[in-house]
This record gives sequence, structure tokens and C-alpha cells, in this order.
Amino acid sequence: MKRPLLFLLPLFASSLLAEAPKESDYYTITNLPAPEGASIEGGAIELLPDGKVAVCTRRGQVWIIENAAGHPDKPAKWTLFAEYLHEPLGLAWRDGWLYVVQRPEVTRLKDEDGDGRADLFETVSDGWGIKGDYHEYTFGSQFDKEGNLWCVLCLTGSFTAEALYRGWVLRVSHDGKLIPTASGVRSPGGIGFNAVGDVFYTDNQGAWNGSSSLKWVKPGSFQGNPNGNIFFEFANGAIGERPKDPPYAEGGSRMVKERENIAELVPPAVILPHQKVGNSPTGIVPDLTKGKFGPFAGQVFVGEQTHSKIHRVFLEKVNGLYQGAMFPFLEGFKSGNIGLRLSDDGQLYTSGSDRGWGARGGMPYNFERVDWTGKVPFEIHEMRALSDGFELTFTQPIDKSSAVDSAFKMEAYTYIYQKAYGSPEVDQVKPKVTVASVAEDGKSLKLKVEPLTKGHVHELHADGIKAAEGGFGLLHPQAYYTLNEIPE
Amino acid sequence: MKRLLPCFALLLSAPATAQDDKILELGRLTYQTCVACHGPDGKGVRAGDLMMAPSLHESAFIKSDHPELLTAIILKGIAKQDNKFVQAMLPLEAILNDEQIAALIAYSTQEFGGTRRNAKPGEVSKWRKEFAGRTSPWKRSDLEEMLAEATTPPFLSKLRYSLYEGKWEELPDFSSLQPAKTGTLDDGHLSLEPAKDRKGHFGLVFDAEFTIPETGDYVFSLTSDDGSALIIDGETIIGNDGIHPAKTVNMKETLQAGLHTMQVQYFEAGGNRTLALSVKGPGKFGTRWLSVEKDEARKAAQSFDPIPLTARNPGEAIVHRAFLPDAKPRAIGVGYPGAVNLVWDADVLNLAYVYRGEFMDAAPHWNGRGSGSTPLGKDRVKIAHGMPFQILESLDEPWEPYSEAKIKYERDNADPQKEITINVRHPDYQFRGYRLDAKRFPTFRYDYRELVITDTFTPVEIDGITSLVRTVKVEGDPDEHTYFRVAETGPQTVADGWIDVGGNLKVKVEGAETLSRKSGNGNETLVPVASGTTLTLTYRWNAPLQP
Repeated sequence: MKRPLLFLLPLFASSLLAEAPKESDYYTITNLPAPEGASIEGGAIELLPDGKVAVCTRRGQVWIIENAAGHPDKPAKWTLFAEYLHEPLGLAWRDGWLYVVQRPEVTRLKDEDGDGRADLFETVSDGWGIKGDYHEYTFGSQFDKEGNLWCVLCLTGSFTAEALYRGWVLRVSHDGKLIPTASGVRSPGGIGFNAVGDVFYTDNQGAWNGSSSLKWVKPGSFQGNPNGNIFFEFANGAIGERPKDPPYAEGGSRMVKERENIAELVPPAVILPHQKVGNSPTGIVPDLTKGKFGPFAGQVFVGEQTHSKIHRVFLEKVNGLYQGAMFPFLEGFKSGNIGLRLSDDGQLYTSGSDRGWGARGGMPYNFERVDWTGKVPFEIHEMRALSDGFELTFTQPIDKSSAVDSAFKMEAYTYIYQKAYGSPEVDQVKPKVTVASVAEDGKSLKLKVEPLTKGHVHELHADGIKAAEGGFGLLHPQAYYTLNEIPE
Repeated sequence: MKRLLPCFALLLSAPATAQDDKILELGRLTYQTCVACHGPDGKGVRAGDLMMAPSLHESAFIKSDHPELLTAIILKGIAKQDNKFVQAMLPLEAILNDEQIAALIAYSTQEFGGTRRNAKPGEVSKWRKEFAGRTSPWKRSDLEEMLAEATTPPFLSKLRYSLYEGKWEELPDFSSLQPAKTGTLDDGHLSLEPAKDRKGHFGLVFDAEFTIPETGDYVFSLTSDDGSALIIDGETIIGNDGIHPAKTVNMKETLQAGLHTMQVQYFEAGGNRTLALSVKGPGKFGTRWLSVEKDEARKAAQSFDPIPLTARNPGEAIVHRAFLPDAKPRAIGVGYPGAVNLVWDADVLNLAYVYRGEFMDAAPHWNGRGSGSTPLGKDRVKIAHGMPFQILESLDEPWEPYSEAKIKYERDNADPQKEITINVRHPDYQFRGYRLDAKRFPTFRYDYRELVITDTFTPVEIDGITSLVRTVKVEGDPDEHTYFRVAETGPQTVADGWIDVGGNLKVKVEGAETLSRKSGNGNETLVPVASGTTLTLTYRWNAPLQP
């Protein structure tokens, strides 16, 4: 009896070691409990110059948190800076003022008497309309390099624009100048920058949006929903003439086709396939930590309210348009993430609520911090389009023997571009994927994909790829690449 | 024929007892109430081209084995919805007692349905109580739904529960706990019955299987007090966690046809308890309730516990921005110490209304998707609909209405060329925000043309009545013929310098001479504005606030 047992021991030990890696090995989520009696339904988060963190809530409060980065070792201290604002969803710090993007206006707040509570509420701009529908949300970015906040305005309801600039992106300068910037928005969930400072917003599945997506706010662009285009006559030519309407006829069209008819139409940069990866994308933050938050410097993180997740997005520009891939990143947040902010030191903060739409997390609100454990997860790092396929890079060298054709599965599809609500996945294509080459260092490989379909989401499952070290599969083998343009 | 007859008689009489005969006889007598419309033969009475009432021989209810539904119909009647039948069915709850209803069911099911269905008077009594809340006759669609639900096999099968004991603020990891009790629920509906003897501090986990008939989108709706979660095929679909009053979370999921597993986790800390689950599917699937509790839970989830707003420190004001009734969307509510309140409108740049008593209920604003707050209190008096300042070259010029622009409005689901009106704010005005003083009293600030205007309110007690003193300060040099409108409501009769603006409220103006003029169907009180004008307006109710 003794012998067999001894014989089994090493096997048992190695099977313990071989436990499959999980997200929490690489990124931990820490809950910062709300102060007694407060509902931290976070709409936006901002980092203050002195290391404090500010969060504004759907209930209209603005809290300032000390030791947010150190909690719970050094308990966070919450101070109520302002309250009873109108569902604020944007927060930005500049020159001693805290700018708050509320439903009706951009307001800047200051505590002049030094008691810790704001007493000056200056209206910076209120140059847009509201009819009184709860859909009429206004999300705001931080300041861009020129000193402008980017505000994105939801339609009046699911289908209509009944007050000025509903369905538009507006820039508001720090001193109150209003610059109409883009049209065609439906129902945004957040607005922010990529690593080079270009602006993106998330838009939710619905009319004219077959799926939820991450969209590039190219100034002057039309984002696809024509309801707000009636306001061109008020914009004094700020972004030129009103674009042509997309086809209203039953059955709709395809985005890739209508791009040829409507010059201003900019397709979604990265589609976040509806229901597959989430239902309701929200805040956007670039990773500017230069590696302090792990191996994804220069990429973008996107919140997901319904599934209580955060996605990771790789963006590239091909033929003048943004496109790229979405990868799952982290799940298991306590509520529906809305606001996101990543400090230069590598703390990713998120806060949100499940009110009105529900979220898997299950709690009515959350304020949580994500920290990198210092271990590098085995992930697809980047997915780039090639003229005949894709190039994948990895965060760790792969086991080159695993890089065989059968390690990959791909399907491609698109959505109907139509006035009706949402769309099924259509025009399915099953491309043939072959491994064209594997880099000597095992950190990248090229896939030949036949055919590539312009305009389609190319959904990749790399289930067969193994890490050189440890032999594990990818932490997230899925990638969803939106191929707006096929490179030369 | 002769041979058959005795047989027939035997069949009828064999199972009958003297007691049954008495019931059928009472049923036959009771049915006389029905013959005017349903006819003595139950085939319905003709009224010209129409029928007075449907044939009972065709009735799915008479054929069904659901005497509770027949009781429901007899008690409450059926509304007349169209001209299919001449008569509505009258509610008979006040006319027939429980014995009569039980007998009527026995008689009519045997005579017209072919199979006798029995209901005991005690059961009828119980159903009478269950339907007591229904105060109007049924619609045919109500009844069809009830019948469909009663006759469709339960959606959930192999439904088991595990009851846990513990004090939680959110759902625990039940898999690491030992249940205090387990069992099955054979009728396939989630129920809190297994915990009926617990005062609180318990959890329930329900496990079941279900079959999806066709691939499609299914909307699950989970209502609970306190926390709950819905897990399908091992994946959490709905989280409704935490301690809260009845709260509903809906979630759409695409489900493949075939067998699935479901787990519902629930915990109750204390106080009220509710658990309800429904699923709505494509086409004929309709809405199915997967819990014993139904609409009651849904209703509870839609009525919110009030959230009255009170000042953070005594003597301070509250400045609350939300959609508010009777004001434009940029409304700002202010609650002052002394139980006086106002709504200042940052669209119109003017005082919309004043009121007294409790300030504001934020519950509708802070629950669900948020429809705006509800001012509480009483004695609300509308002050202004329009902008505060205007240049009037002559006093014959009318005061402008709130600025509006008409544009063509295209709507996906309606007439694409319909003209609608959108509000575009007046180009002469720009709201600049507000400053709070040490008591958090706001001073609103806005630009009017080249002028900077501040608008401040202070509660002041005058002869035992808390009143509002408003200071409108004009900085800059106004254009000639610039006027401020003091009043646009009420009779505006003047006594002792007080202008009656209706609603038992009057206003006194200091700082400029008032002039009044006719305006449309009413009156207006204006004051001319000059360089350095500071107006003091005192708003005072005629009587103290009644508790």
C-alpha cells in the first residue's frame, strides 16, 4: 500500500499545480464599501491632483475619496462634496474646478469657504435641449488637449430626438464655448479617449444599431442614427451639411454598403457583439500606465453594465478608419459598471448601478478597484488585420507546436443597418483559417483567413493555443475583430 | 330504443346519491338566473342577428376541470367588450351564496359540458375571498389567460428547494452551507411557503429544469425583497442582490430550444418578503408565472418607499435638481428652513412656483429609470410661466411666451414629415449657475442681454407666517423700456400694497413703482428697470400653514 501511494504523490502535486489559471490570478477586484446611508451609483470617476479620487453618482452626489488606492489596508475616507445634482455622468478636474456634466448642463464646482463642500456652481454651458425623458442622458469625457470636454447626448427616447442636439456629440470648452461635433448617436453609455487622444463613445444596440459598439467620434462624422439630424439647421454649419438619410425601407441595408452612399457615415470601430459579450457598454479608459497595469499599455478598457464586466479593446487605424478587436478582460463586479478611470499608477476604478436596467453583479451599486497582481496573463495581446488574414501577438511565448490550423476556429458576420430595433447576426461566413507563419520567439503568428469579409465581425476562437510555459490555454481564447477595412 | 332506455337511466342514476340529487336540483333552480341569456338548453338565446350570450356547450371553461375559474366568472361577471354578444354577464356575487354557486357548477358542467365537476361550498367560499380584490367584471382576455395558465403543465419541472438559516446582507455562497430543510414543490411554482414559520434570516435555493419550446429571446423578470439571483445553465442571468424593498430586474436572454437548468437563490433579512419570477417568450409562449406570487409582487415593486429630502444640518436649505412637475426640465427645487419651498426654473430663468410644508420626495427620481421627484407639501402657487425681463417700446406690446421653434420632425415609427415644436431657449438669456451661502441658500445668476441678474430668496417670518423675501438685483445699464414682470397669475387686486396673485398668496414689491395692465384673459403687474435697480418682492400666504 505504501508504494503505490508514494508513486501517486508526484502526480497529485503536479495536478495541483496544473489548476487552470483564472482572472483573479492576474487582476484582483477590491470593493470600497459606500459610506453609511449613501448609494454610490457611480456615473463617472475623476482623479484629483492630490491623489484623491472623485466619483459622481446617478443620485446626484459628488464624493471625494482619500486612500482609494490603499483600501482596505489604509481605509478609504469618503467626503460628500456636492449633492442633488441632476444625474451627473461626467466628471473632470481643471484649474481648481471640478467640472460636472449633468443632464441639463456642464457645471463647474468649487469650495470657496473651505468647509469641504462645494458652494459655487457655475454653469459653463447648457446649450442643448431636454424634453424631460429619462433617456436624455448626457455623458462627459475628461478634458482633451485643447481644453474641451466631449459630451454625448442620448436621444429623447429609444427612437426620437425631440430637443436640441439630442443624438449629437458636442464639445464644451473649459470657458463655455459649445462646438457641435458629430451626429448620429442613439443611446450612449460613456465617452473617453484612446491612447493617442482620439475620442470614442459606446452606443447601445437598438434602432440603427444592430449591436452595441465602440464608436470613433471623428469630428464631422455621422454615427448612423439619423433621428438627430434634424438639428443641422441649428448648428450654423459647424459640421457642414446634413448627411443623406440611410434607407428607411423595411429590411434595411448594411453599414458597409451605406458608407459608400453617405460620405459622413463612420462605422463602429469595434462591435461588441450583442448578448455574446454584453448588453450595455459604458465608460472608456485608455491604458496610459506604461505597464503599471499589466501588459496592455496603449489599449483601451470598456465597461459593461449588464454583464458587470470590463472588456479590453485593441485599436488600429486602417485606410483612415479605426477598427480592431475586443477581448474579454475581467468579470465578477458587484453591480453594473458605468464610470471607469485608470490612474497612472495602475489602479483601475469602476463604479455603477443596476437601476432601471439590471446587472448580473446583483448589488444596486458598486465602487470597486482593480489591481494588477504583477503576474502576466497568457492572452492574445493584439490582433491586427493583414491583407490576407490577421496577425496575433501574445503576452507570453506560445508553445509553437500548438500553433496548428485546428487550434483556431473563426466565423464572420455582420448586422442589418436598419430603423428597426437591433438585428440578428446575418450574412454568416465560415472562413478557412490556416497558420501562415509563427515568429521565432513564439510571441506572434500570422493567420491566413479565406475569405476576409469587409465590414464583418471576425470572431476568433483560439482554443488550441498553449503557452510555452505551463502548457495552459489562453485565459480568454476569444477575440472579436471588426474589419471595416482590409489593409493593402 | 326501449332496451336502451333502462340502461341510460341506470347510467345516470347509478353514481347518484340522494345528496347529489339535491345539489343538482339546487343547481337547476339556480340556473334559472341564467336562462334569459344562455337559454334553458344552455345554447344561448338569439337576439336578431346576434346572441344574447354564448352557448355553454362550446365553453372551454365549462369543459375544463377548473371550478375555481367558473366561480370567478359567476362572481364577477364578464364585461361587454364588443358587439359579439348583446349582454354583458352580470356579476352574481351579491345574489348567489356559496351553496348555490357550487350547485350551479355541478349542474351546468353535467348538463352542458358532459362531465360533472364538483366544487364544495367551502371551496367556493375560499375562492370568493381570493377574488375579493377584483372590483370589475373580467375581460375575456383575462379569463383566457387564466384558463391557459391553469391548463398548461407547469413550466418548471423537478422543482426542489433547500432552506438555509443565516443572517446575511447579500446572497451567501449557499454551496458551502448546510440546508436546514429540503423538499420538492410539485406544482412547479417557486414559493416562500417552506419558510412560512421563519420570522426572517433565512435563505432559499430553488433548483429546477425547464424546456424551451423554440429558440428565441426570453425575458425573465425577477422580483424580490430582499436579495435574489437567477442562474440558468450555471450562468448568473439576473442579480437582484442586497437588502431592499420589492425590486424587479428584467433580463432578456437568447435561449436554445431544449432542456435547461434553473437555480433561483433568495434570502430574506427581515420585514416584508416577496419572491416572484415570470418569463415572457416569443409568439404564443406569452407570459408564464414561475412563482406562486404574481402581480402583487409586481405592484409592490412599482410603488416605492418615499425618500423625503431633509437638510443635512438644521437651518440649511436643500437645492435639488431633477425633473419636477409644472416646470421645464431644468427645474431646481429649493427647500428652506421654516417649511417654505420653491421651484426655480433654469430654462425660464424665473421663479416657477412656491409651496409650503414638506419639501420633496425623491423616490420616483431615485428608483427605476427615474421619472423625476415629487414636491410634497401644499399651498402650491404658480408664479411665472414666462421670462422675467422684456423691453416694451409700448405698453401695448405683449409679453413674449417661452421661446419656441418649430421644426420638421422625422420619426422612425410615425409620419416622417410631422411638424413638432421644440423649445429653444431665448437668445437674450443665459443661465450662469448659483452660489450657496453659509446656510446653503442659493443665489441664482443669469445674464439678460448686457445685464447680470441675481435672484435670491430668504425665508422670513411676518406676523407668524413664514414668507419668502426675494431680491432681484440688476447689474449694468438696462436698455430703455426694460421691464420686470412681478405677477402674471391671479386677480392681482391690490390692498395695502399687497398684490393678490391667487392661491391665498400675495406679493409686495419694493424698489420700483408697479404698473398693471391687461394681458390676454388676465392681468400683469410690471415694474420698470433702471440702472442699479434692486427689487425686493415679499411672497406671503394669507394664513399660517395648517398641519
